[in-house]
Amino acid sequence: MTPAARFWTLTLFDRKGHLVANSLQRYGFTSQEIMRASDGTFEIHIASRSRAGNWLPTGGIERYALMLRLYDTPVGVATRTQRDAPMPSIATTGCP
Amino acid sequence: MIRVLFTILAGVLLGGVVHLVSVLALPRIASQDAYSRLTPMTKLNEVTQLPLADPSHSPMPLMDPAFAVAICRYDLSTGPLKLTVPVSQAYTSVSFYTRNEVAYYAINDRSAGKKVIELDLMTEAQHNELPEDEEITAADRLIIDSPTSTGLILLKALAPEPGLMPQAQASLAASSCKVQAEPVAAKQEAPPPLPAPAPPPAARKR
Repeated sequence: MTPAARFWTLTLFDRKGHLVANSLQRYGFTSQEIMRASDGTFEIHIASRSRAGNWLPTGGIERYALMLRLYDTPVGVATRTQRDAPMPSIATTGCP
Repeated sequence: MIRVLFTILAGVLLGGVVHLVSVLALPRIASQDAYSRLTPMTKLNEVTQLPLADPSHSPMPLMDPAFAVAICRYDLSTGPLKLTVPVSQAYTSVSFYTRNEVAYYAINDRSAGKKVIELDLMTEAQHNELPEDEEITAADRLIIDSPTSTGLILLKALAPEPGLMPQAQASLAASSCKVQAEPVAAKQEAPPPLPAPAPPPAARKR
């Protein structure tokens, strides 16, 4: 689930705000290119080794920042509740 | 004893004031701000496309790799600026920053409601000097006041998929920001679209 917006992008940055080099040259996803389940939800695997589905490579770095940017969205500083801006959930699935 | 405490308290207060002042002044005294960093790679009063962000170098930190980005670094001292940006297929936005990187205006393709985002940027003084003609007060002419005479205009076009990046870049390449040398010249430039349809009725009257 993501907050309502015309487009969103999710980008992986290192701690200095640079993109992270990887063999796929994939630095993030846009709302349009993501593969979704039939109910519209989606899952992204953020890992250094390739995964099935939406794989966002970390390039092997351990500390990174994920930035979700909403474009043309009603969400703003006045948005207070989780219901108005449902944020995606993040879970650690396993340690290498 | 009280004197020692007083001295410590005064020191803490002074330290606090110095800290606050320096933090608040930082944006103004920083030499490596966006405007300075973009100065060597952009032309004045022209649209310059920035290279796409990649891991080895990105012109600005935290750039969104899904966007084609272009900069118009402007100086309004020689006259107001006319900005024209054709909208791309996905999402196009234009945002305006003062010399000190304060965002003061933004518009996107949907809020513009047209295929081309067109607007005039001028200082408040230049706006006040405008003659109040009907052409100039026409509703579809969008005039933005810049708080500072120099600043940055950031043009962004989204490529929703990597394959659409050339299209996003093409729409930015087709955009322009130009100084209109004289307000008079601007007046001469603006009327042609209006008088062009006008002559036929005049001819009918005769």
